[in-house]
Amino acid sequence: MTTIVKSVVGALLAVLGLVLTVIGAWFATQLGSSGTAQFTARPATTDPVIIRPSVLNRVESDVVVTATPAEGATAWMALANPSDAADVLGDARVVSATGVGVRDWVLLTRTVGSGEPPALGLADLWRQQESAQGPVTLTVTQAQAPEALVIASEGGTLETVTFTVTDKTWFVEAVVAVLAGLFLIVAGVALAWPSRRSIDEAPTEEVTR
Amino acid sequence: MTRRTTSAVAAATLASALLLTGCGTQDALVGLRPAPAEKSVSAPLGDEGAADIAARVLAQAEAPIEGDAKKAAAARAVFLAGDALTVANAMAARGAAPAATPDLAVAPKPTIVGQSQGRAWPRAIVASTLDEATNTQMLHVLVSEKPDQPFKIVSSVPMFAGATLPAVAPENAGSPMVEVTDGEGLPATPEAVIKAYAAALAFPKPVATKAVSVDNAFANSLKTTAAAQAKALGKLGTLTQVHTPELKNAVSFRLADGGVVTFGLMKRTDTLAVTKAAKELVLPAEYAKLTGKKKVTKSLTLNNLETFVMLIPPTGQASVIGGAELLVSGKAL
Repeated sequence: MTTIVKSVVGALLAVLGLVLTVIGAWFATQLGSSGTAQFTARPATTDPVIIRPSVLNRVESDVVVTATPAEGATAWMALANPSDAADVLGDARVVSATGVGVRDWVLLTRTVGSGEPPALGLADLWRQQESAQGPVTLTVTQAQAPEALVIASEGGTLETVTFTVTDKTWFVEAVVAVLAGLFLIVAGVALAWPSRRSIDEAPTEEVTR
Repeated sequence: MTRRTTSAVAAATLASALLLTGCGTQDALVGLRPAPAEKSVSAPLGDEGAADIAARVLAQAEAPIEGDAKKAAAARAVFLAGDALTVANAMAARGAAPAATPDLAVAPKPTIVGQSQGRAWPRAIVASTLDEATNTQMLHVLVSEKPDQPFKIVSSVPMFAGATLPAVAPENAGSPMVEVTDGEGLPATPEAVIKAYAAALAFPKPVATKAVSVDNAFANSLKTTAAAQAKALGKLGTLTQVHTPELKNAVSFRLADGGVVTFGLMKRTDTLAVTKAAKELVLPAEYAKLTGKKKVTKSLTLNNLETFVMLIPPTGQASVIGGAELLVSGKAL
């Protein structure tokens, strides 16, 4: 009975190790040695996009956000206190980032509100603003967290918003996962293998005595 | 490695792996943390951001305005509001050049003296600039009424030589805005103290007050000039000066010591009544231009706007640390 349990546990460990190895290897190749994770949303709308602290300020690393408008359009991006951003947007219809999806490296969003967006650039509550015809990039350090990032476009839709975080430890962790997975595979096989050997060896011991 | 050791290592590894799949551990593994909470009692803007806003709006105020009276008034309302807009419009109506007056003369690099506290609107910034031409320190108050509205200058007042404004608030803490009718922690409400100040400046019958000192450069000059004018008139006329506080746009901040600083406006009416001893009085060129008449036979009324900055300490006498006057209109009979 004990031998069977050990075999099952060994097999489970080996499977777990295999899964861990595959996942670790996948993350390592996706993140690269720099540990860069890039998530993309495709709002394809003229409504403002807001990235709140629940997405923007969950890590200690800098977050780089790039907004790309449709050809010929202007992108505008600004940082503010979360409550200020909420006040200025009011009940306006906005695309709110809700999280990230690792499988497709997607910035998850949903549309909230129903009112018309106000003229955001006139407000004097932005800590940092960037605007340009074409892609605009803004780096959010975590020094002034919590903050909310608001993105708007003029003269066309907002095509993509990319959210990039770089953390070298993620690559290291992915490699560690690969190594741990390999260890689990070995440990699992080691646990299962002696049980078979002990079955073979048991009669031999009795004969010797 | 014995079988027992191998089993123990494998079981421990399996247990660890299972434990690591917990959500909290996952967050910790990838360095995720809860987003920090927002501080709601600090200044809404950093000093640098506030200075950028003040510099932009003060530069707008300094720039010449083109167009007819209606367009110019609309253009002024883009960056001015409250008492500053009242003063600027009065100056424009009188035909005075805004850039040449002390009320709106500004230096290019503002220093942030303080900000309102918290996340509510209206919000305010107090900035100072140095007018290098006259070596005069100017205090400016900028207010944003609503989230989607930019800051506008609501008051620009020159400080008296040697006057100082005590610390408005500890660094980045912001300073609560105070209603002029709120006397909490003060000997009297700002409104009451300003009314006492106005009454104490009256001529020829000032009302003595212990609430506020009238020993400042502006009040002394006013008193001396009025006395000289009255003396010059002799029996030919009588001069009266009445100061009326106009506090609907006044802005007050709590100081770090618990006192209050108030930026406000008063209207002063100078009335020169011609006595029977004089048939008529010939007006100086400035008043003649203002009233459209060279002589008066009954009376001359001159209307002035007076901006001021008043400090009201938690205990003791209030004082005025800055002020200016502007003659805006007149009527000769």
